[in-house]
Amino acid sequence: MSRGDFSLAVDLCLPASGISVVFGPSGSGKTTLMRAIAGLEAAVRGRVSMAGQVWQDDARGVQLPAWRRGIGYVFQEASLFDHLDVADNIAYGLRWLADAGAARAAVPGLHALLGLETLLRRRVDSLSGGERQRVAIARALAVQPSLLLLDEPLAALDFARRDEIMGWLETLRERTGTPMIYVTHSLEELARLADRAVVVVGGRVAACGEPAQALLEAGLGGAAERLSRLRPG
Amino acid sequence: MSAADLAAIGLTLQLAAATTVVLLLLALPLAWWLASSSSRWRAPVSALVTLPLVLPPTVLGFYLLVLMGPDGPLGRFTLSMGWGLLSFTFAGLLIGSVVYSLPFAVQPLRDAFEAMGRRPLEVAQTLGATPLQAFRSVALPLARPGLVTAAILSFAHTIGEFGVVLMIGGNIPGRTQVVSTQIYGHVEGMDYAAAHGLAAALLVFSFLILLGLALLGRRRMRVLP
Repeated sequence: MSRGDFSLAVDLCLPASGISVVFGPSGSGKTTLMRAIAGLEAAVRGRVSMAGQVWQDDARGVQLPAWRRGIGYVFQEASLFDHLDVADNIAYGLRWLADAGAARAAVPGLHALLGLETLLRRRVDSLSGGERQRVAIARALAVQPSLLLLDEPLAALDFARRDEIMGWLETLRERTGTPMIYVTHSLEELARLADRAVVVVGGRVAACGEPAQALLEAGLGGAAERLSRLRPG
Repeated sequence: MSAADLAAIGLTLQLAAATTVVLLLLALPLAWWLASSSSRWRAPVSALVTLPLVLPPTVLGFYLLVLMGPDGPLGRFTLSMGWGLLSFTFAGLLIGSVVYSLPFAVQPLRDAFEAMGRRPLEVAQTLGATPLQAFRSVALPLARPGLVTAAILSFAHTIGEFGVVLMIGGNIPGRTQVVSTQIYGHVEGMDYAAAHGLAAALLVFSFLILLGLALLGRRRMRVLP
């Protein structure tokens, strides 16, 4: 896709498990890539498929709308629905599922997994930034998506809250099988969360693979060195 | 109060209620389109919707009267359908009131939709809602303060209208005579005491409406983060 001077041309094949972190500087096209995967970016031309199901293929005239892709999307600013309380925010997507039985039964487990049991009847405008993002993650997971997209979900949070949410995301990676694509420009988040990295620079994929190796391939040797120091083990 | 005064009050309330209902049905899609469209028609349509705010009511009333008259396109249409002419009828008054109060219904809704932005709808769509379902379950509830303001302003503005009503409906007792034209009639007949009664009632009503809106605005400020 092109917009003014900027163009995004990405050819990627990601594994259907773990956390793939899309890493790159601001304005490199990370968010546009996520919106294209979600079906929210109408101007994008190309092919998007997930586990054999084609979501978009302009050559064949296929364009599955966002509401039929079965994804979860966590935006940077949580974007909770102010007219609903925490429990109703989390349950919002269930009403649109053809068969919500299993998803509804799994919701209490999701509350527990993200430590939300005591917040369920709270108004969302009374929550802290970290609590809001946990609710947004629970809401996205409640519909049992085939893919969870997280677009810089920690960017608006302070250090303590970022650390807290990263802990929850690590738990989710261990306890759910949902593959995640996580966008960030933070080396710390890349170091802590990435099973693999996709380095995007200027609307192109500069490298893809094991995080430190991908950074090296993308010509970001300094960042690769810092990453090695940050990564546990 | 005389029987004619009471009839005028009844007709005014009927007209205001009907106008409010019609206006909300019209203004919702129009405000949504104005808030979210990038069409080149947006600016001219926006100007057209706002026109009644700056036009003298007599000008608006005059053109509506011409439109509804036997030589106007609307008049020819209603005659061809066997409905007769709309001028000097309640239906004519309703059309005039809807046009005259349109900006008062559209603007608060447009402001509410613009403040909301597209993000809540995008979130709803990623959670499986179609655009229409997202509009009903997310956009409408979030725009509720704007909806309430639009309804109150439409109702109040219709209660107080004079020029358009007089041009389209005249001042026919029991048919098109509303409170404002009745006051005008009392003053013309030098019956100041009767005019005072109705005028004071309108004054108190208008104050209460504005007070209610101010309190609603304060409550919204407390609720929003």
